[in-house]
Amino acid sequence: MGKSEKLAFISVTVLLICLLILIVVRVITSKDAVRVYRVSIITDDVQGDYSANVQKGLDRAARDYNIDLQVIALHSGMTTEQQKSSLERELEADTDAIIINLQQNPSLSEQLDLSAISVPIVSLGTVWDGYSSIRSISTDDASMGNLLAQEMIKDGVTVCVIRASLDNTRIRLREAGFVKTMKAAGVAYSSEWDPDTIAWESIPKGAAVAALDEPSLEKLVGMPVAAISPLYGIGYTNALLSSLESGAIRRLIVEDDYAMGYLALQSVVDAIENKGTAHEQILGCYVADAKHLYQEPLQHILFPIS
Amino acid sequence: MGKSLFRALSGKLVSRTERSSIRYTVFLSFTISAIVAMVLTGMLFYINFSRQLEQTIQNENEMLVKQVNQSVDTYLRDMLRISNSIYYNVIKNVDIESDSIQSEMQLLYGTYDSYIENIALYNAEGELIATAPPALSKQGVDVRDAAWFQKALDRAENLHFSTPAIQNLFVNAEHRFLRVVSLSSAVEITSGKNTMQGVLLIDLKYNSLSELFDHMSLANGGYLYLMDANGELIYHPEQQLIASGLAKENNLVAATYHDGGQMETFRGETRSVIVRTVGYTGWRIVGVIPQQGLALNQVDNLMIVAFILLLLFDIVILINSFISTKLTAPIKHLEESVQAVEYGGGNTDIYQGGSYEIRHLGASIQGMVDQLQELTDDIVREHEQKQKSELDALQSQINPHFLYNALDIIVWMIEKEQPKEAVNIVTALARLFRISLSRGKNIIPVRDEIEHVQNYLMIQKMRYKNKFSYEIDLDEAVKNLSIIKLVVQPLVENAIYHGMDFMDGDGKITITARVVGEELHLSVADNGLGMKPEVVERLLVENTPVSKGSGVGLKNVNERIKLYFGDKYGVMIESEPDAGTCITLILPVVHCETEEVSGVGEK
Amino acid sequence: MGCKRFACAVCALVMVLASLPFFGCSSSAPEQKPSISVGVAIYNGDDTFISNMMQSLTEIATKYEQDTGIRVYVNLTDAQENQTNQNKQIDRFVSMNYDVLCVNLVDRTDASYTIDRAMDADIPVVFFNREPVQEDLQKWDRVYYVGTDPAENGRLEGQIVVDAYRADPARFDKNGDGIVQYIIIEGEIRHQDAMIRTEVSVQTLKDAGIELEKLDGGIASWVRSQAAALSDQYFEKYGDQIELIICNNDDMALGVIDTVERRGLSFNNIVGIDGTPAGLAAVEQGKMLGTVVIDYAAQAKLIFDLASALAVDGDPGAVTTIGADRTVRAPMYVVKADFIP
Repeated sequence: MGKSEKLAFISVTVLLICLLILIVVRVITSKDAVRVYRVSIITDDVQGDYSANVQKGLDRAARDYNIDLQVIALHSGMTTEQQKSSLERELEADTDAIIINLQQNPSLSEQLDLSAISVPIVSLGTVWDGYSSIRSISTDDASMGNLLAQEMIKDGVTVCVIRASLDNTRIRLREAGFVKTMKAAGVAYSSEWDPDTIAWESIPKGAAVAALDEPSLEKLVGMPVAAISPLYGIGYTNALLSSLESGAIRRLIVEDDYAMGYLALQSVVDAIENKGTAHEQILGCYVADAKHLYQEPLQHILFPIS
Repeated sequence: MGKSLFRALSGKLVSRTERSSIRYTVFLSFTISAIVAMVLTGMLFYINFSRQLEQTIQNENEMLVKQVNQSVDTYLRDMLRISNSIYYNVIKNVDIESDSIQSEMQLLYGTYDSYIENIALYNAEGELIATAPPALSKQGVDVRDAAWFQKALDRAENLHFSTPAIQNLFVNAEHRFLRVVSLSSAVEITSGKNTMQGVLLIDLKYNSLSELFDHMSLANGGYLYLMDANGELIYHPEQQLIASGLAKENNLVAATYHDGGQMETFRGETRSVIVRTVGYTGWRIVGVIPQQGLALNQVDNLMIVAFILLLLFDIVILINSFISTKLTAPIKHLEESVQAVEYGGGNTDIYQGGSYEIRHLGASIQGMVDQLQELTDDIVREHEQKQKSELDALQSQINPHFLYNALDIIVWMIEKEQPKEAVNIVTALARLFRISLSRGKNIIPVRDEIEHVQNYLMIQKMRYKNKFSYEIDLDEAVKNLSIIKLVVQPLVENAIYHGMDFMDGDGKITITARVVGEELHLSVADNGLGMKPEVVERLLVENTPVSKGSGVGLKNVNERIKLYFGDKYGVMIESEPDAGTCITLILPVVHCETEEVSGVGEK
Repeated sequence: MGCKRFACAVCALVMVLASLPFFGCSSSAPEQKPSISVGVAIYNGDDTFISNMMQSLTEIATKYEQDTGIRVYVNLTDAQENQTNQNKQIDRFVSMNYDVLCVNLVDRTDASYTIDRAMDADIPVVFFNREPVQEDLQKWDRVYYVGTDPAENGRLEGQIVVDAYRADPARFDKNGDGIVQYIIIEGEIRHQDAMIRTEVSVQTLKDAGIELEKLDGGIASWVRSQAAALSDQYFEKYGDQIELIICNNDDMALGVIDTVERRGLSFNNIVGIDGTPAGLAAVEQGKMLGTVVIDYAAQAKLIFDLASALAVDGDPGAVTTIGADRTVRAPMYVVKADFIP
């Protein structure tokens, strides 16, 4: 075999091997594209259908991104200890990422030792102060409170505020926003806390009652006070929307739950694939009243197409 | 211009070919032709197939859009039929004051409850007359404000399909908000003696429409969506995401397209778009096929094709290398053999193998080489011989014994005061030496040679005190022929020493020269002792230095003759013990003009 | 010949490398703690009975997790009364390789899709609350049904009326003709439970010797607002003639109660079946005569026990009694209003 022939043969073989490696790499990377991720979502928001639309958003994203989504529900029947142990067990399990949606007991999330967790974490609904490496999707609770206050001011009603418990971060933020706006506008209000222990008679006639979360609002709707005082609130369920329609509730401040759920899972995929950086995504909020209920944008927010 | 270029190229090609080995040229041309053939074939097939594939995919996509169009069409038609059926069979000409249409409505609803959410009949004031399934009107809702109501009354001859919306008509204990497509039409209601206008509403489940599009996917991650004539989305796989702003679609632009296929660019992506209009409603089905991945797919395909081609290339190189080596090996071996011969390996064998042409070449070259070798050997031998004989001749010229004896005789003669004899001997001696030298020539006339012999004989006769006598008998024709010098004298010398020594005056030496046919026979005969046959044999073989004579030796003579004239000629000895010996030189007839024969040149 | 050998070696190497992509890379699943994944598909999340049952189910699952240490993943999907949707949800469960499926069919005649898919993937199925036909249940031996016995439901419902009648016949005979004029409000047209309950409850009354006259009847498909609208029409049409309204379930009974309240009537000769919290509240408030409580919590436990046993490849027969027709019947009991002995 002549020298030039050997040279030709070797150079072609080298080219061949390079091409082969390229093809194999492409095959492998394209195979990766259909990998199924296992994601757990730990939520304590299972009672009522507050989170129905969030779930719809999550389900849609799970389908789009090929994710096996497991819902770990920490329901109220469990003690804090049980909840904590369930959380920790989940964190040790073989998942690719975790979404944490702790509304009722957000302090639980603060008790977690995040440095021990190796998988990406996305916080849904709340922003965790002090943890810059966690992505979060939430609505600006303060502006929800602010908006609520503004609507009530616009309607010119005096205000009495109800909310379930301050332990919930979101409610705290909403209250802060509400209070700030009220103070800035110089409107008087009184804050009471538990609908069960309120002396309803003490509420002046014509005063509007506002609730900062759905459970409180639902309670209010069922009470006699609903007949006399207009109700305002933050959050929604289908039942509350019916009340909004019928006029029992005058205004609801709502968020795009579906988008929140969808973006949360999208953010999870980004975190797993190491795309983008950890950051807070803050979604806006909207005012819902009976007149605009069936119009855009409320129609698609409140009644997502699944 | 092309011609000269062509000629230049071909000239270059030819010169290149001449510079490279035949093996390389064969290899190169085999490889190039194989590769060109493969590449051309591969490319042709690939182009053909990929074009066919593209065409097929495009056809499939268009077929799918057509199919979906068909199913949407069928669906809408079915719903229209239901609406008409209700109108004509249930509502028309029935006096709603007296009869109830509830059960018939329920019947139709029951049959189609997978498509229909509600059937409701309203009068022109927006009051609910009948509905299936049973439902109560929601307080505070005036259907006269609804678009479906107004549009139905606007164009009373048509049925109207709305875009999807949340139903807002009935009391809903479960607080359900259902998405429906409203099919509304103006109807004539009979109430008592009056007829009035009303609106028949069929709220279709959104699911039943969206199901037509579910699982319909086009090539390369493509999808279908449905929009109304103005571009408002009715169904889109990502409708909710688009509404929330998490995704985007180019539906408003697509609304301006005519039916058919075209390319568009949206958000940096090229897509192929197929649009078809659904009948009756003016709704449009849009199929979107991204082109991006297709290109990448092509790259993948091309890479695989390239891989295969390179692999074949490698194999072709190997095979051709092997073939060309095997094919041209004989030529190479032949060439090597020839080279070996050129560089002086005179005894190498020429390679003979391969195809018959090469074998023939090999054999011929072998023959030529052998012949060359032979001739060279001959030359060398002759050369050696010549040198030797010259040496010998020289030797003979200065053989001391002969000279001493001759000089003795001369002295004796002079002492005997026989000056005439002395002069004769001196003269004879001088002539002897002159002819011996013969001015360096090898071939001399026969008469010169005989003269030389005569001089010799004369001297020897005197020396041997006339023990013998001699006679020279030449043919006239012979005298002008040529002969190698110093061939006769050794014979005579031989005759004298072996024959005459014991003859007391009776010795006779006879020299004869005859032309016999093409040959010259020169014989020296004596009547001496003769020789036994073994001795005769030995004479021509062994190089017996004759001590007593000026001896060049018989062998020498024989060899020289053979060398100069060929094997045919030489020395013939006939001897009979006690009778005599006759040594004959057989020589060719060479005329004096042709002096140096057979091209045997001087050094 | 050295170069030839070299060339052959290179060729062989290239061939080997070329075949690699076709072997593919086998992904090995990492070692996991024991866990079971349960796919639950319900026909309609708005059905209060079903949604209550599902809540119990998740609570039972959590308890099971704590007791046994086996992690339980429950994935609940709502078909929204669309069998095609449900089929898609079943597909998804099967493709994600769930350990067991619990299915509450939208269309009880259309069980074969689910059974076929599950059978191909060897995933056991527990149907509940909406019973597939026997032919479908017998298709495969890893298919079960947990539900209530509709005949017994109907019998108990009828018994409530019988007891009330015996205590005070006059309440059922406003017009004093000795005949009880009743209206029946039924569940879904294709639902076996609806048909059997209707037939048996009326038959129970007849068997007790009560004279009956059916004023009217309608189908409200288990839906409260439909029952409200229907009963509204009936009250409009028949007014005081109505002496008894029998409903196939509590939601529809509550719809009748809605109409009664809206019309400001005082009528509480209403019976239902299910024993949902709302239904029980109505009974407690005396708005209806009584209801047959189908212990949804117990049913949920039955479903879960059976499902978890199947998921860990245990013996389902060990956790509960399974009938020859592959069904497990949930227990039930009656709750009557205070004024009925």
